[in-house]
Amino acid sequence: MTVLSGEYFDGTSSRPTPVTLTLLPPDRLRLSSADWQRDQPRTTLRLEPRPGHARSLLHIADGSVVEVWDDGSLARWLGPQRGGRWRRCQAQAESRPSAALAVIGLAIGAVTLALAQGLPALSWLGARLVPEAWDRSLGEQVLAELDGPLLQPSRLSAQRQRQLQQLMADLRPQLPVPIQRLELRAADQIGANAMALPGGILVLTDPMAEAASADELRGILAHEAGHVLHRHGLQSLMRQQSLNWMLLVAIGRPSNLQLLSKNLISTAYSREFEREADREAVRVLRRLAIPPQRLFDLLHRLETTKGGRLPGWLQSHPNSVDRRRSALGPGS
Amino acid sequence: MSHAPSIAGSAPPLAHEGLALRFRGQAREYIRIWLVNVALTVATLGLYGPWARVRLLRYLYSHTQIGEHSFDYQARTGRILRARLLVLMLVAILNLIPVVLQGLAGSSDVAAGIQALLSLLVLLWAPWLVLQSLRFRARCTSFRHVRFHFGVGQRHLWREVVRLALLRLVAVPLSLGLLHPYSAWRSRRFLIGQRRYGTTPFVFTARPRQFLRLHLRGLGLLVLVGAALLLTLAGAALLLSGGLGGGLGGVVVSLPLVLGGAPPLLVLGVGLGLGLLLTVVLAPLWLTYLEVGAARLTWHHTTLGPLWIRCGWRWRELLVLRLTNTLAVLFSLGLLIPWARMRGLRYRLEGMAVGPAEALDGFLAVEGDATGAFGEEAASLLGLITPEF
Repeated sequence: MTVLSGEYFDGTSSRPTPVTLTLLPPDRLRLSSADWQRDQPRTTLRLEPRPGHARSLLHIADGSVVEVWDDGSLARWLGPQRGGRWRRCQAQAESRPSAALAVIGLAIGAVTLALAQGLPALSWLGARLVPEAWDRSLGEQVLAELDGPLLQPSRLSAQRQRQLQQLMADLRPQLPVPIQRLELRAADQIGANAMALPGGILVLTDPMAEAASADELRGILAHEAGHVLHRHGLQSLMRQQSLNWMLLVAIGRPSNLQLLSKNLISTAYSREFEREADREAVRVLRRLAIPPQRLFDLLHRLETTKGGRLPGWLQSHPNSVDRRRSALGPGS
Repeated sequence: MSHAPSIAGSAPPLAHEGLALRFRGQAREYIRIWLVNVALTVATLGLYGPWARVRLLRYLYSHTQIGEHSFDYQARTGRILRARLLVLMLVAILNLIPVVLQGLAGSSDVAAGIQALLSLLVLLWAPWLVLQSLRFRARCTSFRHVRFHFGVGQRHLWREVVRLALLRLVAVPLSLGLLHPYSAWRSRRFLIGQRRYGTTPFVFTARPRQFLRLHLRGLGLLVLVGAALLLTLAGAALLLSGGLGGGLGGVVVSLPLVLGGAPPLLVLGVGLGLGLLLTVVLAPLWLTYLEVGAARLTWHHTTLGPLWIRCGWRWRELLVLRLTNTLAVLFSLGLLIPWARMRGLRYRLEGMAVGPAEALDGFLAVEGDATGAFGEEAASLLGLITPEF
């Protein structure tokens, strides 16, 4: 017969009453204080251990509670409890180092998997589901917002502009995806660059049009068409949004940590998009019998003139050597 | 580890012996619980969050004792989870409405208008959410199995929430901080005066002018320490720049001259030093002084039925604790965050005392008062209220 000591609270007042708990076979618990004694059937009792080293709570069906140091005998006597297994798992994960390590490892694995596979797959699916009309109207809006602060009307001669539009028109049948139009813009802040907006609007900046030869321009435009084909604009929008959500739920309110992780993950996604678009460009260039190497020569040239290099994991675009290697294979 | 401040300096006015709060949490235990729960929360994309929160808070509460009895944190995890999912769903819908409208209407003006309208609605809802959150938090806390409550039976409490928010966000900045002591007093009066332990209300008797005096003293301290540091710095700069040296008077007089004719590097150095001084020394000093002063003022003028409350924190001790905690967290790259948190908690909790001891037996519990977790979840997610851990 096991005897434990504890303190009884009737749940209506803050006064504690010292009691002894006697486990009476087969299924009654006797509570006795200096003034009273009561027998409680086992079915009216619920044991709740607390994290750390605090006394367990023995809830009685009438709302009163006994605080007791349970050496395990009470738990054994009470048998399986509702939610007891779940609480035991929690307590073990928190107290056993091996279990704790396993949980942490599992967490890291799950997050990695979600970021590397789950989110990309979801955003790909999501981008498929968006009607093309929305995509196009989104592209027009983005262009309208960029025009002015970032993009200015092109300062190229009318003849050069016609040439470029002709080049685009000739290239169009070779591209894997219909392109709405090519927009030429001066972009003093961006420099030599090209952009693909959702819905198939390509933007080419003046410095890029001046720096690149005709073949290189074909490579650049094919690369941007690759972005359009895979709907990278929409995908990155969706990934950004889901990432915001995941971080909000996991880390809580906005903080520097949240911002930093978001930026690091987003640039990794952006590099992945660049590689995907590169592969598309290489396919088109091969079809046109232009050595794909041309595209990467141009990228390398632009990279060296820009100067100032960040480490790869901080960049939104992989460096030209990496890009050539991943698009054309090693040793090319 | 920190040691508890002595309560002797603030001897209670009553003849009975008081009871100091004790905190029995251990950093090592807490770190493990914290790591496991954070990992599980992240791995389950936040689904485990409610359990993590209840377990961590429960650990902290059930290791905080008055005499032999601990506090407890009791929340139905299933309800928190349901509330959280509901809030997330609502936020998602609120975010989606403008996007869908934009897609349908093709014009961004309509969408922007709708967005503004929705934000306004959420803003109007905010006081109620904050209030529900305060109610929920109080109700989840118990001591000796008698729950705390907040704003029981008060119907127009949201008006005070609005007034406090306007005071803090509009009036205080407009008055260039002059109204800050009043705002601090008023929010404390609200937060403590609306609280009950069972059926017994907390009574807050501090006056606004006491908070004003505290803030004036804080300002005086700031000026004194700032001037002393400035003079030391200027003296050092003078000695370095050519040994013009001399008495303090000389430093004060020649400071502008020295800086005017000094090489730009020196000016830059002095500027950097001043900035560093401001952020590393003066700001924590001032904030800690005000925090400790306000806490002592508040608790010494708070009673709970026959119970008095004392707070024996000292601002110098807390400042040292805070600085060492910051250094520890910085140099351990954040690994010591739980340790620093436990240390701060221990100091704050063990610096409190209540009495007389026999008064603790006489409180009665309230039936009913079931506040859902929705307000708490929404207010935390929207950043209207500081999270509990």
